[in-house]
Amino acid sequence: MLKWLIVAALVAGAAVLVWLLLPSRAVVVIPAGVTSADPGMAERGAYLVRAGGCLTCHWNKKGHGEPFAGGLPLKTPFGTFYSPNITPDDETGIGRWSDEDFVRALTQGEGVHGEELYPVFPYTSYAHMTVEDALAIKAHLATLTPVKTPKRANEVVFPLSWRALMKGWKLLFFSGAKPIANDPSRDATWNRGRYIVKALGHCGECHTPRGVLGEQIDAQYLHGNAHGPDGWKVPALAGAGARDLDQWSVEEIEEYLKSGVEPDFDSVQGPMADVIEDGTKHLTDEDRRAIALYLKSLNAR
Amino acid sequence: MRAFVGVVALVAGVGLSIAWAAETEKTPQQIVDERVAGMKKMGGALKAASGLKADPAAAKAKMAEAIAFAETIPSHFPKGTGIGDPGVTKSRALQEIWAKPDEFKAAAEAAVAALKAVDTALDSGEQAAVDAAFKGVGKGCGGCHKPFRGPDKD
Ligand code: HEC
Ligand code: HEC
Ligand code: HEC
Repeated sequence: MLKWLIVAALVAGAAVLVWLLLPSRAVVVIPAGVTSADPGMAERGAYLVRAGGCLTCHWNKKGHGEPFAGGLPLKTPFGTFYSPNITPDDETGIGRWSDEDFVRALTQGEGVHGEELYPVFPYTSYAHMTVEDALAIKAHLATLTPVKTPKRANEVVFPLSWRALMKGWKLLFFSGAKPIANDPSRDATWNRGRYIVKALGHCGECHTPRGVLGEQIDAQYLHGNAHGPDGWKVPALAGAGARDLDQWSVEEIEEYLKSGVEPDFDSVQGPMADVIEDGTKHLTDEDRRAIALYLKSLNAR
Repeated sequence: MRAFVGVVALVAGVGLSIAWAAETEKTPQQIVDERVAGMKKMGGALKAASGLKADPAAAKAKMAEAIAFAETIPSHFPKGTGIGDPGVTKSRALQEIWAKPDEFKAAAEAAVAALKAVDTALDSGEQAAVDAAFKGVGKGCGGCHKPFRGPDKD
């Protein structure tokens, strides 16, 4: 009996090991006839890159790096990650990536060689993006001047430094690419707001509290996070702790996302200042209004 | 009678000296808490003023409140009341304030000027001028917070 148990455990262990060692290849479905080369995609992508806040991470502004060339250190409890180069450089960037490769990275968290990407890259949010939007972003990135900047190696604590372990993390906390479906009981503006907040803007990455393995606690979506980036306290946008958002009007939220000025003329600082500066400030008034209305709806009583 | 006056004077004197002691022996944290409360109150006055579009006189009264505090900002930052100083448990005041006192003062003066510009615009009665001046207030406050105020942490 014991012998069989040991054999079973060995077999199971070996199976897990093989599973971990196999490169990942999530299936990516691109609707027929849609490619990043379609007319108008690059312009659309230029806007979506703002809504997606890609520059807040893929630009080491303080270190005098080039936009989109990466190199920004992102400190987390699990170690320091460095954003990679997403300019279309053939060797150090994504110049040789196919549409499928790109969509797989953005919405499934898998790199071009089948390696697992770490969820500091907010693919768990981008997974809610439509394939068309992802391809438009790729189209815009393809128009940039290639910059040669090799990726700096992450400094991650053992054993998480072994990328394959992220397969286990995904099994627990990630359910794959899942574009948000419109809620027919709500109007188009609300749906647009939810799409920007949840998918593109990845607002939950900072505003939602995290569990011990770094996963977002979905039941407390946007309920605030005492341990945000660089030690900042991230206020709640929903739930009982959302004191400001409960008070601010839709117009006041819009103004904040545009200029960073709060209704009492205090102004934004820290990570949110970058979100506004490199992201929400560049959106249309309609999209800022959609975000504000959606956030307000979470605070409706 | 004389004895009575003497007793009253003594009691009053003791009372005063206790009050005096309390005044001088504010802990660093009390100084922080008071200035944060003052900043918040100033923000509240500004928020109220910006909402009083239809009543310039009332808006001016709120602006006067805000200006009165803004003019005293540097005096609320005695040395030894910043992040990491003994007795300070919670503050966002960076040590840069005391490393660059002239810049800190200049930032305070710029904010006061931005507030006075609103006051002047209110006198003009032109809504566009008032709105533009309020935009300057956000910059005025941010001009000091950016270099001199640290992260909001728990
Ligand atoms: C919160 C920070 C953050 C944001 C925002 C972010 N990224 Fe990233 N991204 C990263 C990090 C960190 C990695 C590397 C992860 C790793 O090492 O596994 C990465 C990896 C990638 C990769 C894979 C590159 C490679 O060489 O494997 C692509 C493609 C990418 N990001 C594109 C984007 C796009 C497009 C956006 C905006 C829609 C975006 N990122 C927004 C942090 C971010
Ligand atoms: C990189 C982390 C990060 C991301 C991503 C982020 N935020 Fe924030 N947010 C913060 C921090 C930190 C603050 C507090 C800023 C301060 O104290 O000045 C904040 C403040 C806010 C506030 C003011 C709330 C209050 O109570 O004062 C609003 C509104 C807000 N964020 C909305 C958003 C929206 C909408 C998005 C997505 C488009 C977003 N945030 C994405 C970190 C983030
Ligand atoms: C000359 C510098 C300076 C100017 C000008 C200034 N502030 Fe401040 N403010 C600070 C500093 C420093 C702190 C942090 C104090 C502390 O925590 O010890 C602060 C704190 C605050 C706080 C408390 C925030 C919190 O949650 O801790 C508010 C609100 C505020 N300021 C509003 C304003 C407004 C509104 C204006 C413009 C009318 C303004 N301030 C102008 C320096 C300044």
